[in-house]
Amino acid sequence: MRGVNLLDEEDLINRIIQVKNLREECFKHLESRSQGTLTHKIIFAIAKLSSEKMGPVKLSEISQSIFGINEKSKQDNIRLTMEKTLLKCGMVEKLHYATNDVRYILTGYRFQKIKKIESFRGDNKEPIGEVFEIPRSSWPIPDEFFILKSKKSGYEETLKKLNSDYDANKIPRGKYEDLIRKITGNLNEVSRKTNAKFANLDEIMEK
Amino acid sequence: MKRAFLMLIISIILLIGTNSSVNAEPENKNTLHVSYTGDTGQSYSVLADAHQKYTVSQSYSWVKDQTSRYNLVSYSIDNGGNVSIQRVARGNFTLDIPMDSSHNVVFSAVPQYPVSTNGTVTFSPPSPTEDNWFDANSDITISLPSTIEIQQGSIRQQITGYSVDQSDTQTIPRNESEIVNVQIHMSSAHNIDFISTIQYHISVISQYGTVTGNGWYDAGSTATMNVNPHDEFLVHHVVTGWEGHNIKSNGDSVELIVNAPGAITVVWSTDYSQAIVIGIIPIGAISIFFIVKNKQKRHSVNVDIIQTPVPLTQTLPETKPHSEEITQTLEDIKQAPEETKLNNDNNYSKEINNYILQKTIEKIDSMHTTGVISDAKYNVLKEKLEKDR
Repeated sequence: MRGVNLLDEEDLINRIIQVKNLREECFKHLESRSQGTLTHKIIFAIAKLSSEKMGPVKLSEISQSIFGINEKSKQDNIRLTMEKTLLKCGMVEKLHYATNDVRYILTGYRFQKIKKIESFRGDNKEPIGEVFEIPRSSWPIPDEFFILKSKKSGYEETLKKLNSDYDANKIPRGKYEDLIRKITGNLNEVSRKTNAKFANLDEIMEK
Repeated sequence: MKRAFLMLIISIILLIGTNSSVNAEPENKNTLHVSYTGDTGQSYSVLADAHQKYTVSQSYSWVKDQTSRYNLVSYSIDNGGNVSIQRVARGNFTLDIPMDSSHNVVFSAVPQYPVSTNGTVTFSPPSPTEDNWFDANSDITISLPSTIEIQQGSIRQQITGYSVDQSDTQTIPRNESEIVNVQIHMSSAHNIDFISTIQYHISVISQYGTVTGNGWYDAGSTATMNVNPHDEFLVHHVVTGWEGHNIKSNGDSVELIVNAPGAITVVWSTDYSQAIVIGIIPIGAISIFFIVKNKQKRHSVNVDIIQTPVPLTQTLPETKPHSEEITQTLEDIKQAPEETKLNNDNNYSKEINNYILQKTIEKIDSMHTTGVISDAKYNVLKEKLEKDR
């Protein structure tokens, strides 16, 4: 049982960074052939909602997202489906915040189908196929990451413009050097923050 | 010795007397004992005022474990006959017991399991509690139509299979206007996922002939339509083409990859050559007869040809050069280098700040269009960047 605090950013990012291994019978819930099944819908609804809320979500919210209503019978359907499949597969985590406050979140956003091989050296896992990614728009990525990424791009593009404007004699040397110094300083600061907080996430997002 | 034995007997009698008085009900109270058959609930007892009624409130359903529940079916009082209780999923059942004496109430309940599905289905027999929960060990049939129309006459869902509790998918044979039935034994909670495919209706419109291939097709499949040639007396109808989106026609047949509902029209032309050949002989004979007969009466007809004169040239409106404007522009150019440079220098910082914001927003836009940022987050981020400005 967890404490009352919602998950922090670091915990959420770790769920994105790690690639979770899934046995074939669990991995199938992600595949397109399962599209339309309740299990498939639950996975994608939890992902979308937890990305918006940046934290775990309630049964009523999942029900609202899937069925457009959150009546008890619909919530029961979702809860029972999760109990029987997604929780057993370790794809969804159930968090008890209080007696009447239970919330759900995905354990990962990137999944690898594996096959277990038993050999005399012990159990081994063999990956099958590509890593499956939940759509990135449903990843719980903090706004700060996107702001830093876009600012970095803004500064980089502006430095290019400054150089070409200077080459075209559009600005005096003094002004050019002053702006180059300021914008390079800003760019370094943005890069430092990105590396300090989101280095691993940035690496994945660049792929 | 005798005295000591007497004292011991008196003590024992006193002790028993004291215990009895502790265990006995108070004179104005009676006991109500509530229990459950098969240990389906926790028994309890209450002391209630004599000569008054006590109301027992019992929930219709209570949790058995994560995937099952107990549901109330009957009760008995003081080992009397079982009294049935109307089956209800939620709420409380209340029972008034007159407490003129002590009573035993025994509730009976049955375990129930839920069935969850991803479609609008009918249960047969229906749930005794009028929801999606069914008594343990009952057998039920889950039914739904094999096709569900999404858009009347043009788009529908065709149920192609189902899986019980995430097991392998069972294929349902395609059969129009049939109901899909799935039999389930309720020994645990079940989850039925129906798998469906989208189908589009393709219709063929033809003025003549007999058409084959009208109907419903799976999205992405290839549909083939044929039309049989149609002839009337001395008149032959010929297919000259097909009209429709993304079609590949080949004479009397046409193929298309179905990715939307639609209609295909057969284009016909009518061949009168037979009629002409058969009709030309008597017409020719009659013509020759009249030509010969009227040989002497021929006369000529003058036809006036009226020609509309067409002007060979058109006069374009004369355009005058804006001499004043040109002179001004030249003056501006002469003065520009120094002034522009000075203005640029003064406004350059502002321009660069705007450029940074523009490129920053462009990056957010590109992350949004490539599906990295959701619509909801995109609006929030744009707002934040504008505020930063």
